[in-house]
Amino acid sequence: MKFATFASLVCLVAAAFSPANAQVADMNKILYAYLRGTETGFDPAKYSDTGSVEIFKSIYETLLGYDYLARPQMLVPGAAEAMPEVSEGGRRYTFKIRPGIYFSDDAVFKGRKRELVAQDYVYSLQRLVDQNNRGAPWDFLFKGKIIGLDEKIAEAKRTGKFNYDKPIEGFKAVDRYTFQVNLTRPDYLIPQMMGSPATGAVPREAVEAYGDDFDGHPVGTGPYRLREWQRRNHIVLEANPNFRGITYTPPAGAKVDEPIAAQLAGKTFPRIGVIDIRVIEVPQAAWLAFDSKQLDVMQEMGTAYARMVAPDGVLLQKYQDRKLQFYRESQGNTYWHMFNMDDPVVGGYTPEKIGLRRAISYAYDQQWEANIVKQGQAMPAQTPIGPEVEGYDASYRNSFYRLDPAYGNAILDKYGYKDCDNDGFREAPGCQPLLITYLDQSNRDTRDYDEMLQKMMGSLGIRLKMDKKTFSDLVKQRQAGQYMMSFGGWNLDYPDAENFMQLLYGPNAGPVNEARFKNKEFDQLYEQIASMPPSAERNAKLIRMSKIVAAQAPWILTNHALFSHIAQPWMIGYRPHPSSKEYWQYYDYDQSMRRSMTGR
Amino acid sequence: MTTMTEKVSPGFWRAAGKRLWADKLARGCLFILAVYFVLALASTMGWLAKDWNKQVAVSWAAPTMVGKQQQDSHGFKVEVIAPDAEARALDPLTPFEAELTAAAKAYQQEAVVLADTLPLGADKVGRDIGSKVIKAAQTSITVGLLAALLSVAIGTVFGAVGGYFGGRLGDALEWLYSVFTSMPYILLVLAFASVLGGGVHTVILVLGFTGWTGTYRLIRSEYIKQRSRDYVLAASAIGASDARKMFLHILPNVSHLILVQLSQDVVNFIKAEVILSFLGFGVPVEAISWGIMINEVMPELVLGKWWQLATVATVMSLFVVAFGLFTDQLRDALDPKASRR
Repeated sequence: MKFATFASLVCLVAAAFSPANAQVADMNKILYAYLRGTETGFDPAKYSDTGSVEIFKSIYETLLGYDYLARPQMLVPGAAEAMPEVSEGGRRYTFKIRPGIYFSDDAVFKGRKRELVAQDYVYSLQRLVDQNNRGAPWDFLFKGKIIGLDEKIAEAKRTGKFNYDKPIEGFKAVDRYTFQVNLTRPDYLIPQMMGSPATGAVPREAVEAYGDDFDGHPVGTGPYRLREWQRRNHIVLEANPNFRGITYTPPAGAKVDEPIAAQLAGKTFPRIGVIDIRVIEVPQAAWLAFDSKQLDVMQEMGTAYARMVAPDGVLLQKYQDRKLQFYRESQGNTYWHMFNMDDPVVGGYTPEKIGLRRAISYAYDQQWEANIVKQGQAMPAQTPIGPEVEGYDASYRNSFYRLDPAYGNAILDKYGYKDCDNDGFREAPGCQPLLITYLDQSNRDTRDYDEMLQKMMGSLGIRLKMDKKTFSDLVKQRQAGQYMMSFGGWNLDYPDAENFMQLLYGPNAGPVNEARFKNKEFDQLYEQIASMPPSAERNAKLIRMSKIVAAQAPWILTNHALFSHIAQPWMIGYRPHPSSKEYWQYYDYDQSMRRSMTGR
Repeated sequence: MTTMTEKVSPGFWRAAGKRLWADKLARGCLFILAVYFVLALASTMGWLAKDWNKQVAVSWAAPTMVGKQQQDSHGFKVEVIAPDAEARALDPLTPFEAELTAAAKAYQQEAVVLADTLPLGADKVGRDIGSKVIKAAQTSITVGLLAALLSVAIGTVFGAVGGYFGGRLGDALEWLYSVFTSMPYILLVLAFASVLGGGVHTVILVLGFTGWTGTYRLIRSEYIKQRSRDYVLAASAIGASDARKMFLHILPNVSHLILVQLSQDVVNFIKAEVILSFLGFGVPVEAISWGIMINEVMPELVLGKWWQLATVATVMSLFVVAFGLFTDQLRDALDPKASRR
């Protein structure tokens, strides 16, 4: 009796001091997941690789975010109370931050609760353009758009130090909870940027206290925090006790997966206390782990395994009998072959250079790569824009893309690429030597791909050499324009066509526009679509841009990868997201079912 | 003058050859190896498996004895459409369209009829596994033989110099040997391979440069043993040079060891090439080897396409076993004191 009184008193006191929606994650629930590539670090300003973003997305909170179930993707408020207020004709965005959001406890806060305020975003967003953050891989989000920001970047270049203390008009904390973005020109994509995981808020005192160790010591307001990290091997996240706890309501007017929405209704998230993530790079090992029930969810399985479990896109009977949950879906990505437009052999805009690139494009077999090399886990691309993205048109067919090596050979003959020395290979006009070097990645298994390229060039009588480099060297060389031909791929940062078209925008030539393509009409169209809200007119411009790309052929489009995801029968509320990120905070599982089937 | 040829005892090599030929197992192995070498030679000359790289069947056509298999209905068809006015206006090639279309006729190739089955089946891209395994044998056997010759040559010269002279020079070679053997073999090979890059030639060089250590130790100890023998001292007494003693007097007395070492290395290097190619450091994309074929098998097995593995495993293990047994017999034959029979 006495004990009961005391206990209820404790409960009463605890209730009085905790927010109404305190998080209710069950710390005994452990979700077993995997990363198919390695991570590098959890500082959002420094890293943009898939593995790292995947993890830090759950640690930090962005002002806006993409709804878990809405398809096509829809932006919804995150740390902001509501969608931003747009004024000055698209030049000013005002965000109201939800009061009462706290960072996870950390020694740097000296035992006090640290609330998230507008100033945190002013600081965090500026970090994204600070070159001292490993070259600022995210600087394209804001460079050239924000009032006062470019001056600061120029100043930092001079002094070598980015001055965070000097206020700028572009990113402004109007009051404790009001954050304002002021732009140099109207830009309708600012909300999309604020949904990119890179724009999560970090506390300045923690970044400054930990320095480079902030990579492995992230402090955020998100649903999870880092408990344990063994580099490139094992990552453990645990529910952030300071997280407010969220519920799921489908946004108005959105198309959602109804059964999954019903499973989520009325619950407070996150429900799983611990996320145990292993890095498993070999697809076979990942599949065996899933098959033996050591993994609960398997996002993005390897192509051979996807084909094995579902040869025609439908799960085989034996897996259906196990009640596995299976999804095969397109995501916002595009892959291509590209030419360095500054290269003296394959680059340039004279008729014979365009002819050479177009001939190669006629020798490329889109269908072969999608069906044979990628095992049907990819669909041929018609425009640079990835699917599940604003501006993507699934019904559009590009007349420039057809397999016709005979036509390609005719083009080469016309422009004087003749076999002068009768060795079976063509020479460049004027009997200059012609050898195309293709920059490729050495430490991945690309034999199918390489054989396809040899066959493609062989059908035109062009000599090809594969130049194999490690991935980091390859990226460096591509960004510096030290290559002739290579491959490229892009995963969306935000689901808008602009995010894809910027890859070919002239002034972006360099690390972003790696093909260094410059076309006046394309650039003008890009500038128009960048500050235009979605419309039929904008879509027509996007199609025209795609045709320019196909006609000039700085890129030869290949495909959009499809992804297969599989989950164990005990998973509740699981739905893969087209951003290729996991929404762990909404996952749950049936404890008793898992225990009875695995003993875990 | 008495003649010295009254009773001719058979020479060392002749006797060894006789002992070898008398053995049924050795004869069998020799026959199998001869078949392999003939196939490899025929493929090098272009008489066999010339078109191994051509698609002749549907993707993963099954072996004839298994019969035609249901193809997965997965896959996309790219619909070819005629260009619209906008596309024509943007295309710098439009003015020459008629001319190019006419010229293209000369390049038009007849469509190949793809087989549904092949005697040994087809791989992912529809190539005949039979031709492929022969072409692969050519690469693998070439790599094995040349790399073995190179490594044995290096090992013999180093071993002879180190064993014969000893002293500072011997110490230096011992030091080099310790450096090479202190590293795990596969890591050493990978380090060399990543520095030298890919290609058949570099595979041979890599294996040759890393594989000499065994031969070196063997030959060195033989030379230490032989250099104080009477026949060497006799040669010194009549003023033979060091080089003459090393290579004309001592070498023939250790040559049987070299031969055995050579044949062991061939097998080892064929296996090493498989590992190198499996790890992506092997032969280039235009070539094929047994290692590459084994590497391709992994995802195939997942999908139940077992025939490439069956073929390459049979062909390769037969070769390796035959060569291994032959080496054993050769050692026995060359060492008259070893009478295991």
